[in-house]
Amino acid sequence: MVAGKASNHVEARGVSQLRKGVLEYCVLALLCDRPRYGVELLEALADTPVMATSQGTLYPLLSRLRRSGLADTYLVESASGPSRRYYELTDQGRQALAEFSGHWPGFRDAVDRFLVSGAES
Amino acid sequence: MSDALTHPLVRAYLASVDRQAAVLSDDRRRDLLADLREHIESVLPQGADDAAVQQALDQLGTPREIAAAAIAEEPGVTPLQPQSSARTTLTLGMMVLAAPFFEVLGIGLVVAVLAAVRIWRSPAWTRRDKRLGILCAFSPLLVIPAAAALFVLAGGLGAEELIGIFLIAMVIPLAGAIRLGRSAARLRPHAA
Repeated sequence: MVAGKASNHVEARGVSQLRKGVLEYCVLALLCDRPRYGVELLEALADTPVMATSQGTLYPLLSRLRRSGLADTYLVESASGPSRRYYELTDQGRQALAEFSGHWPGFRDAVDRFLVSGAES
Repeated sequence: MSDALTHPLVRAYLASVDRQAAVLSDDRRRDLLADLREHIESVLPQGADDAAVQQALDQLGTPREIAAAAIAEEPGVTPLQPQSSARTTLTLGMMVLAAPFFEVLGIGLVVAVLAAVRIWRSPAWTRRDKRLGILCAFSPLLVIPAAAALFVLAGGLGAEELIGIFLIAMVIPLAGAIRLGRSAARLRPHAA
């Protein structure tokens, strides 16, 4: 039980480093078609277990996206509860997403190539 | 306003995030707490029971984890690190015990400078705590002459008055030491 936990932890460390690098672009991509609010983004990320984080850690990321001008926010009154803070992509955010999308296939293919040739040798 | 935010578990949780994120600027910390409050309000229905509240907080993550994520987003801000209680006690003890000796061959002043350096270099305190601690450590520079002047005006400066002055000089450093000691103790793992 303890050993299993420990090895999960080691595995999670590599995955979490990787996630840290790509999460913000996944968030930008989720905002690409329409603005969303925080809990909505969390639900969308939770659909993909590998991208699921402790929910609270997403908010500092969202705050940075806003401060660095990649996303804008606005409040919408909600009939059922508290008002919601929506995040919307700015032109700069679109540009950053496009740039990352351009690099990603090369990156993914390169890693795949190393992993496959590593497995064969 | 939903009553989720006034639930004791939620209040303790938010207070803990606030403490763990103490190295962040006030603005940043306010934003973070506002986001978390908004999240909690929108996921918890009014009158949620303790189990539901606890579950929502568990999904949110530990205060330490969230504070660490927020600190990692701030270039140049390093997280606070616990230091051993022996180190803390030595630093704060130097700060308090230096006070009565400020006028004795400058020994107190040297010890206060050493204590100030130890406070400044320690990773266990925020900038605000460090400034406060250093001010308290040097407060005898003003307090001793002021107290002496008062005693002289009141009619004389004998041995008893001198001892009184030294005790008075220790009050501010002691108050500062208690405050810094508490914030350092909160960082140690058992107090998560």
